[in-house]
Amino acid sequence: MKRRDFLKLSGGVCAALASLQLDSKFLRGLSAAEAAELPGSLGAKEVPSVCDMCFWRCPIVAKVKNGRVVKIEGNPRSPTNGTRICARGNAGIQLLYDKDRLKYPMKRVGARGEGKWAKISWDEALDEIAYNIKETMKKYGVHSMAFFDHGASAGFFREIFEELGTENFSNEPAFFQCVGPALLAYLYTVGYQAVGNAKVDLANAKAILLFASHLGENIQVSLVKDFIEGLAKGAKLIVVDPRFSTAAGKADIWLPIRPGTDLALLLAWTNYLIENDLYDKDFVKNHCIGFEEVKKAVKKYDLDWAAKICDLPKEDIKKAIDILAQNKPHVGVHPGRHSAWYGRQDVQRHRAMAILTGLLGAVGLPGGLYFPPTPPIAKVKLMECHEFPVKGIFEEGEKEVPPPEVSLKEDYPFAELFHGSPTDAIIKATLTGKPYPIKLWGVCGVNIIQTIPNPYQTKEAIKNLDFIFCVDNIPTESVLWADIVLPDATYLERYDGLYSAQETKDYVALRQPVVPPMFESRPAFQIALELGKRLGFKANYTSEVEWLDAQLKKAGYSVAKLSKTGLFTYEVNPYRDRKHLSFDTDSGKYELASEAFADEDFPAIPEPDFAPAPPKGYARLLYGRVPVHTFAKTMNNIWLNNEWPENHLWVNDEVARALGLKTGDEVILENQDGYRSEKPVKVFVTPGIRPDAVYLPHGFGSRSPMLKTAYGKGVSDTFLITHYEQEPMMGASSHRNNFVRFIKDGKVLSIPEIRPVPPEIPRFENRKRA
Amino acid sequence: MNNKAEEKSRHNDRASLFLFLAHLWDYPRPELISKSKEIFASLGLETPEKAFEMDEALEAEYVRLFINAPDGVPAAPYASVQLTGLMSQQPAEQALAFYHQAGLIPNTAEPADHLSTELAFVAHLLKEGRYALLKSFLQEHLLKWFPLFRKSLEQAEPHPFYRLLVEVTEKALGNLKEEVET
Repeated sequence: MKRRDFLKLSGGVCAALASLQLDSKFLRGLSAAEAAELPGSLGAKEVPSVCDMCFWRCPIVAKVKNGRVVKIEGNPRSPTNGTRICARGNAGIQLLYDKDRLKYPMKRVGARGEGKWAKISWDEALDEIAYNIKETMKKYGVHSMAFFDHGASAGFFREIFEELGTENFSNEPAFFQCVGPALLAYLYTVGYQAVGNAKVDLANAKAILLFASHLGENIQVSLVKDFIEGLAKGAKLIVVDPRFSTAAGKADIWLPIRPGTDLALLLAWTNYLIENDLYDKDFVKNHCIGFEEVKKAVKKYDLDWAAKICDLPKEDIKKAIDILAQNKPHVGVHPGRHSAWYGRQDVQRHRAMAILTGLLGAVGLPGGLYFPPTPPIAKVKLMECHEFPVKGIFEEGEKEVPPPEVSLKEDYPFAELFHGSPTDAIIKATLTGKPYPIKLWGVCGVNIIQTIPNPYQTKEAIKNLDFIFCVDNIPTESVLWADIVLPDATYLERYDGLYSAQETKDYVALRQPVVPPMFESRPAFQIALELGKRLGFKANYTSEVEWLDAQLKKAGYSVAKLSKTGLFTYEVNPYRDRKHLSFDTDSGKYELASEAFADEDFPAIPEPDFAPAPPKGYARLLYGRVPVHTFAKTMNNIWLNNEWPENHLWVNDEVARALGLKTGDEVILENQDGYRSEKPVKVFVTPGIRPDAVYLPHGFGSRSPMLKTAYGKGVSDTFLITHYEQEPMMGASSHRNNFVRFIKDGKVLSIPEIRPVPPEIPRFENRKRA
Repeated sequence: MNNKAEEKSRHNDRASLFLFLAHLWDYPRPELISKSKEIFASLGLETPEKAFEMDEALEAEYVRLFINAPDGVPAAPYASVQLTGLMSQQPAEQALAFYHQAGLIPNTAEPADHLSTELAFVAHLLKEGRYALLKSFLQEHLLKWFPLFRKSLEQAEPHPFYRLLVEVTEKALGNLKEEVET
């Protein structure tokens, strides 16, 4: 057949084709030319919005040209980040245009974890999820469902699960894997959650104390700006960290503490302030309760003792506390966020930081803990369950879903205060059916496999489920395990809630679509509303704009009014005159001793409690952040991956010398349970880490082959964190009781114990290893 | 019938063929797949039964080839990805600029440079008799990337339906190319 003849169609075929009446795929119309001749982002349309590359959520301006986002900058109207955004904020464009993005609703057609999918319609996907929710509730009761959530999109779904009545309506890694212990500690001392968005006035501090902080390695723009401003104005900096972190690099005193012994240092410092009359007497006398108890409890802990336990020079410890005392009350003791470190001591260790802050009087005035503002917006409910989707859940006359006979929070008296149930309890219930079975998981915006300790166990739990669905932007490890996958629109394609920093300066900022959603991705707001409809919910608002306007009305704003500027600012009063100082605690005072803790048989004042030392031959595995990534979430972003494609393992120089390792050598890591890293990791030899620990930045080592850019680059710390312990008050899972040794050229390299361990510190015993 | 009318009708026929191909490059729809057997056969192609079985395997194959796959999709159906390695870059803008020249706005959730949309645009230009614009669209845009796409698809050892579809599309475009160049 000659080519020319190929397109000669018979009359019958032509008629058949014509009869199909296929859509032309085009509309007639002219779009205005958008200064295409100007280079780069010049002449682009500017749309203010809010970043979502990490949970800090800086106000941004996106530049759009011919329907394409070409540049992202900070919103100059923002009083916090201003024109500045970080590398991740810049790289948001490459989340929007990630080739590996989830594009359509899909159902699994292969095995769980295999990633074999067929595309389905939104109706089919949502019908399927609603059907499974109802079936699970019918068969096993409402509590048999758990929702794992993080980020802006998750809230809409959380409302559904909460309203359905499951006690597992929210399991934020942000809480039970991260900030929970610190939150509880400060809540019961100061009366508010001091560790939300940086409630320490670093910009005006005269001295700053940080414990194992990732400041500067985890770029939260306004926080890092404040930190640098404080240092530039002359603040003294003390950093307590087994590793010479970015913050330690700017410190006046670096205290390379033995991991897990922070309580010894804090208690000895507390005693030193009291014994030497260096505390803020006015604040303690007029605004605190429990001082005498504290004084008595810490009496026996002196600096010599702390020096021995913490493996630090006594003169450095003394110099550090003298600096803090000299600069009181303008001292910033920053609690950090991630505090799920060792289990048992986690709340009490952060309580000890709060107590130290109180003794220094660093509360409610420049440089110290400040009082976060409340943005002038209304709280509104998006939807309500009018007709409960399953009959027979309620007894006659009951209005609410009854709690389970045995709650997953049962063992944790303070878990009740927070969303959802401890992750460990959910996973164990899913695995064992005790105290009740969990058969359905919803997952939104969180890669549970790279977040929760012991991912091997997490996968086993997923295998036990009747149904699991995921809502996300990209096909993470967790998405691979889902039965139904829903493509969320990225933050550049949707409206969301309103955002404020709640810092010493504040704003209310609008996230709005910069470009329309690509493919068939949909904003979580719309997905949740559609799912709600199928479960008997009635939406109080039909559109995002209507819902947002209801929240903004009180302040005299609307979406239309905010769409040009992106935000409005309002007056903030972060400081308090001591005459008018009051606290939202049980006593109305700053609680140095906690009666509430004592009531539940926990110490009212922290007691020494040290994490076990590494087993012989192993080093403790520490992890942290790199400034251009947000955990595993950004690893597939081509710009960010290009900047920092893989992680390296920090190894102490003396240890390296003893083992014959040099920078660039590759070793396989084997943990105390015998789990090995998926591949070798490159070693970085440095005196900037203690000999009893190694350090591996988190988020690398993607195991989802669907993420072409990230897959197999670097090594995952989470897959080496297989042992964890529960914090006994609120149930967070610890992450730092894991230990590794090296394998090189097939030979096991045992880590020499260079720093002797005193008898007060127990040694880690592994039941599994026997 | 005079020559002009004859030519117009021929272009209309071809326009409907290109529009049909455009829709075949979308996610598989049973009614179109079964119709394609008849159409491909009438074009003189071998049409083994196996290639036209509309089942879950064909759907999973579409997802693997074009939507999400381990190691990235082997044959991204976008001009921009084929030419730059990235989504929605300059080639996508170029496609959009061509559509604008014809007074059209794409009515699809896919990026403007999806193969399906571009073939539908060819159909439109044929139907409207905009040969000059068609010539530059083919030469400056579509035929710059289609061969790369075809090659990457063939290397992915696709389902026989997509092997056939890319062959038909290649022939149809080749034929059109010869014609607009003479």
